[in-house]
Amino acid sequence: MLLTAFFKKLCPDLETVSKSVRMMKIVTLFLFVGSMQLAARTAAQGISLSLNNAAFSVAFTVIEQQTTYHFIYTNEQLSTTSKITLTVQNASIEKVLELCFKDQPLTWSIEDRFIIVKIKERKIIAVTTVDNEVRGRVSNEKDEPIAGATISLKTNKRATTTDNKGEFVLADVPAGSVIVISNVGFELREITIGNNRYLNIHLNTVVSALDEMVIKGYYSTSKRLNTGNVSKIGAADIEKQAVSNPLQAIQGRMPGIYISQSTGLPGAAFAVNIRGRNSIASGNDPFYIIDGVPFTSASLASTYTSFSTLGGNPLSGINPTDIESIEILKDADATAIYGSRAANGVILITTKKGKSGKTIADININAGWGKVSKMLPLLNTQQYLNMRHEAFTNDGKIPTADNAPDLLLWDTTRNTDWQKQAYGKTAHFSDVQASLSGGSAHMQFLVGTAYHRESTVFGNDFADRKGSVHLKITNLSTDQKFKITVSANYIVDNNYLPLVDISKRILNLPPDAPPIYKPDGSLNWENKFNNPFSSFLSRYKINTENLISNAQLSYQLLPGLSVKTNLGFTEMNTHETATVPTTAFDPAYNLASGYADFANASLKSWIIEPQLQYQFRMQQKNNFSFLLGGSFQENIRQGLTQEGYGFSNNALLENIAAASTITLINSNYTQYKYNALFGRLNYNRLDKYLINITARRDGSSRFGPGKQFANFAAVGVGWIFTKEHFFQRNAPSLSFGKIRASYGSSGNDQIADYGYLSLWQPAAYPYQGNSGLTPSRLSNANYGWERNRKLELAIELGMLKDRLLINLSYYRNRAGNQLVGYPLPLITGQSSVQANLPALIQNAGFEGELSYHVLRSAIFNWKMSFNITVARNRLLEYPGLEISNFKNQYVLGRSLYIRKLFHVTGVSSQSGIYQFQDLNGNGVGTDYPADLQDTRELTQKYFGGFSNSFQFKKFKLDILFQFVKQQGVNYMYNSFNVPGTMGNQPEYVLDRWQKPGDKSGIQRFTEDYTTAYDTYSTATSLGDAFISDASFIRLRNIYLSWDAGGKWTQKMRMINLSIYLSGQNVLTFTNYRGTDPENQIPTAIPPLRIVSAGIKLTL
Amino acid sequence: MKFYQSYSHISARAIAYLFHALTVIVLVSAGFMGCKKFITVDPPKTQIAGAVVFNDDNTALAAVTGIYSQMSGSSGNFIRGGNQGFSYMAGLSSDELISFSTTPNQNEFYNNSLSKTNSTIASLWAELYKYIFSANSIIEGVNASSKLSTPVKNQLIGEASFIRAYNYFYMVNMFGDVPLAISSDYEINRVLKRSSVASVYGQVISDLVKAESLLPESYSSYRNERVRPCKYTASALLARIYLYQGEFVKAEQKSNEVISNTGLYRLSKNLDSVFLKNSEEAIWQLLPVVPGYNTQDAFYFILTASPTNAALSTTLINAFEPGDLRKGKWTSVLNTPTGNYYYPFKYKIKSSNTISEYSMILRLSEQFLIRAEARALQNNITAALDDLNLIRLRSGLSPILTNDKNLLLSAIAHERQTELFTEWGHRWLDLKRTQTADVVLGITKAPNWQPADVLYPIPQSEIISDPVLSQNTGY
Repeated sequence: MLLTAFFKKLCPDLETVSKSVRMMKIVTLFLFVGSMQLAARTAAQGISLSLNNAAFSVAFTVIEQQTTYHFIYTNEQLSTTSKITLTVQNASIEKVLELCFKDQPLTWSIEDRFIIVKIKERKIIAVTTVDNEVRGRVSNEKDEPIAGATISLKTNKRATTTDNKGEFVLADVPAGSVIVISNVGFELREITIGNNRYLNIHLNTVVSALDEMVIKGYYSTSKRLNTGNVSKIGAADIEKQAVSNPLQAIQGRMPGIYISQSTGLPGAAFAVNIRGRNSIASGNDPFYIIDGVPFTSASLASTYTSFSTLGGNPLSGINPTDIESIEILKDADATAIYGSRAANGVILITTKKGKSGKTIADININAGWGKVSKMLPLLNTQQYLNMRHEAFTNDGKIPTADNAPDLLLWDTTRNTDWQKQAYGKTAHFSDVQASLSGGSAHMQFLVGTAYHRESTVFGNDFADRKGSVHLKITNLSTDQKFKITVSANYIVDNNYLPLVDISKRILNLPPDAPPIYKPDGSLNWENKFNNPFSSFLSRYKINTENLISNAQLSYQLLPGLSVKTNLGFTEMNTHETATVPTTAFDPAYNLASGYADFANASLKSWIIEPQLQYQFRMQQKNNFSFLLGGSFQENIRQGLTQEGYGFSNNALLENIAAASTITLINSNYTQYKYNALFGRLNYNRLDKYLINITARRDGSSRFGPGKQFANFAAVGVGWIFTKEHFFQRNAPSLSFGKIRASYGSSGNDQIADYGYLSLWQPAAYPYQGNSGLTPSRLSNANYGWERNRKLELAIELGMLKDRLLINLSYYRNRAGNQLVGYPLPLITGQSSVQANLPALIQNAGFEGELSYHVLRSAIFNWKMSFNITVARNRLLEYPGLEISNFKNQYVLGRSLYIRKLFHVTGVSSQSGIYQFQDLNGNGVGTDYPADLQDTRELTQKYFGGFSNSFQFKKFKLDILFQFVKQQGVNYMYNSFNVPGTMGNQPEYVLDRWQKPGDKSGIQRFTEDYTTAYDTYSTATSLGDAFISDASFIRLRNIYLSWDAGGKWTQKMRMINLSIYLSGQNVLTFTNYRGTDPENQIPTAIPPLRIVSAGIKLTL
Repeated sequence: MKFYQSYSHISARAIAYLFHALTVIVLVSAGFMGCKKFITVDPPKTQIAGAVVFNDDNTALAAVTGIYSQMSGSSGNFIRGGNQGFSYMAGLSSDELISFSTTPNQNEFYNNSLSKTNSTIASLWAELYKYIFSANSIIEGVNASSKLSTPVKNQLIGEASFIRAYNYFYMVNMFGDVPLAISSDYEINRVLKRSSVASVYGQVISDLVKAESLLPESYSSYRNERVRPCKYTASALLARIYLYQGEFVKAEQKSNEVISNTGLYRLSKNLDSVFLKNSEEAIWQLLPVVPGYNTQDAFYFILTASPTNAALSTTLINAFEPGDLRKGKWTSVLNTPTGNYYYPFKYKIKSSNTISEYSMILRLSEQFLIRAEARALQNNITAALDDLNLIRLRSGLSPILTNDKNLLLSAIAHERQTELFTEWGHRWLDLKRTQTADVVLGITKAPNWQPADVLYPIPQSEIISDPVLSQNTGY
């Protein structure tokens, strides 16, 4: 029964075929299926056959012998055929089939490896009412009609277009004329008209990368015709990477976007920056949209309970392998239709959908192993003890049990690698994905589920487990006018982590510190050992449930005119518990009870976006399309954080009901409403001249009365100059050339809700049983929208028949009316207030992309691509900077990434302490602000990626290198104590000053609060000693797969079976002084090196 | 399949028409009627608008309750105490405590080598200005409101003025000249210059005088708990400030007003009961609100293992005269193989779910010592001796008999050291106000002591964000 249903879906036209034949065929089909890879290769090798007055079915046999294609047909169909005579050499399957079927009453289509034979529906229409009229039908490879294709006479350009059924009528076509059939995304065809006046024309989909579709929010276009800047990554590239957050899959692959991961723990936060920092103080996140539904990028986790360095990124709530494509919208042309929220770019995520055809099951299983990619080389016990003694000697002090327990109380023969002890374990990854997809021409579906488990480098006690379900159904009515797509993604994530990242304490732990545990298994606190491993007893658990659901309905009212509505609903819930048992404290504290924090938060959001689309064409040359739409959105966010105390037993800490006292820490509720009217007008003349105008009027509840609405608009133009005869004649090697430019505005509303209202919130604790109120923030009713004006100029070139593609773009974004939490001195009672700043910030840069299909043969395939971004940030205008609170932070004409610091010139060879450059000439060098310099800039100078992908027979190899040139924060910043005091240090400190005359980079060791101590603190917090080169080249991803397909897999009824190995963050070349140049936080676990192996199976 | 297709065919048309109509309606309304209504949101349910707070007596009273809750809550450090509190920091800065911490933030206090970026300094600064901001907001809110009853208005203005004065007293004593914010308008406050100590004191005195006139005569309206200021709390603080300002007549007068209210205040006979909740000696106490704890000072000072925070200095232990009961009652010692550590034992409950001790902020014995000093400086030696000896007697010490004013003054100073140790930085502030810090700490805190160390540095972050703020000398 299942098979019957499945077959009906596959081939609904065969209703009349007798059941038995059908069943037989299916069985045959299953027995002889070959792998897709194999089929494709054979096809490329070509088919040779020679038939002389043979039965039509013989052709099938011959073709089946030479390829892995199989015919699906009935005997009834064959009975109508005539004998066939034909000779072809080394031709493609399509070509051979075309020739075979040329004079037969049958037609064909290819579905994967099957050639489905059908009766020609539309035979030659005998009645031709008008002389010389040509009628016909244009369809794709699957025999689906192509609407809007152009049919023109080559001689005089007279043309018509096909209707929804793909049919056309062209009058007055004398025999011998050549007609040209063209449509975007398909290969051009020329047909000479003979006696046949009814043409059944198949167009082949163009394989050029330029004709790949790109989604620009409410509409899509092809790369060829795009007037804006959109970068795209597809499922194929995402799946090569064993990542748990889709953002990791983008790293290094696209120009203009820089992503860094904060920590190597599951659920880590990512900093995502598209074309630089536009806003001074906040709101530099891009706008995320998943299947048309805006998605919050801010974590729901309570700041009170959550893991300090985690921060969280809700995109880890999307299963990367459910993603069909990620599109990054960068310039004004691409982003203006999202108006107020698109200043920092837009990240569009589209999930996978089913494809019509046979129902297939995809199964992907993999296991991975992750380790901290680099441990910081620290002093061993001998070096450490030497450092301490040297420090005491330098200070003229004698160690005592109080100031040097590490020297006098502890066993100085111990030498422990604490990093290895704390986070040297292997994190295990396991991942299982399964999906079922298929459908007919009218209905396609995909159901997928996935399970992911990832333990941490702290050991197996801490792990992240995720389970997800993905569903997408698309239906097109039989009259092809009504289309509905429904999708849902649901994920449940349980993440267990230690409550705090103990890295900093571990790095500072002397190597001779006592054992972690006493012989009885309890934590060791003896001899002033402030045991950092107590943190492992305090656990943090976050449970996240995330639902993203969406429905898109569209109806074609008239040819070219359709209405569409996008409906979305998302809900995210988080439940956190942070438990601190009494055992995590030194028993000396004699704590009566442990305590636990409980936080629940939810975000519910709905969106309705009705749209009207109209496409028409004037005089065959001028294509117009209009879009008008509205957007209504509401977000409701709620949160409640409580603390429980007075538990009778540590085992009950996760149960708030077991607490004798419950304190409310925080409760919040925010409502955000959003409303917009948007439109687009696109004009395309002969696929040569392109104009795209987009506009949006937005209203947001985040602004005070009178400031809620603002308008945004952009225009993008493109000129495909290779369509001009001049270029075709003079530069025939240039297969594609386009110049495009765009200019427009977008905005930013990434600010807190209710900033215009003065509000009071309940105090955390009642006093004398009375609850109190405290002012929650300063209010300012007068701030308005931030505006970002973007300019882009680009040239796109294709050579060697588009095998070599080069894109070069220059952009210049200027963000004004800066909307920021204006930092205030704490004298005002608060640290900031929402306000507009009169600053103008420019981000300008150059992006280059090159992709080259170096070799294209059946045996060996080699593609390479390269991207680079050079970006510069500048503060262009800021009236009143000198009297503003930013005066010691920013400099006009310089980047926002600068740090104004004292300049450390080196270590004095006489005194052995750091020297500073003295600007005001008073001999001090650390006068604030007189001695501050702005020479240091903490950002990337340039970055990019270089990838190669090879295919040799059944092997595929992908290698991606990422390179970044930057200055960063090194280990000296806020991570270690002053060298010489109690606490371990990196090996770098061995290069210290020891005696007058020494030339060294590190100042002398000190134990006490001496001048050397002060100088070190100044040099590493207000001085530029903590900034150094953090450039790196990283082998970001390597992927090797082997297609295990063969005869045996066919026998096992597998369509595809491949085995792969994948490495993430494999190698890093850097001079960085610290653990990892990407996150630059020595006190957090760096991104892990992950190796995984897996198996992919398609049934 | 058949069903499916027919279904989609029929419903498609129906839905499409509905849909078309809906789209047009929505678009038209969006385009022409404007959507101001749609994007209007209610205030958040978990908070209330500033204007509403002062429309109702109870809500307005909650605004002042909020300040105590913050002072005593887990983000409160300065008053609540513990190893981030002022008693602790000033104890380290002076010669009361020895630091055993490995945290630079704390050791910088102990070594009198504070850095501008010391985060404890920054948080003390932030905390006090936060209370000042709340007090300013309340004063403005009450003055602007027409809906509050007069008793509630008086109560609120009285308490808010007192809180503002109390915080400014410590601001000038920590930092010297400080910005004087007396409104909640950030446009004014964000560019404030530092005001002179004298002008800050001027504001403090006028606030306290106003608080005296508005606050209740007793604690009865606070359910007889001494956890909020009454009229005499303001008088007691005024007495201290007049003494600091050298206005001895007024200092005597104000301390006299407090001392003579024997119905309300009496010296506890038993040294063990002085720091209990609502002790008869208490003029103002802070109620601990964080569950599981009594006072934070007890939690951090009482030693059960070798100190990791601080212990009492030998200087202080040696300051106790033989027979001083306070040494046995208010300090204690932990003997360990590596050494013996003295610690303050005024509060005796390290942690407990039952609260029996409140954090003492102002108490009567200080008033006696203020009066003694004020009288001595007015050459009223006999009366001064009476006050001083009352305190000595309670501690089991013999009375002092002298006619020498200087001898008497140094006896009072010494008594303050042994009576008020690790309370509110009295020792630190006394050394500073009597200009003896260089002499005393120059010896005990050598070699780190510098004369400029009497003032803490203005937090660097404030210098960055307030362009007209200047730094103290020496930093």
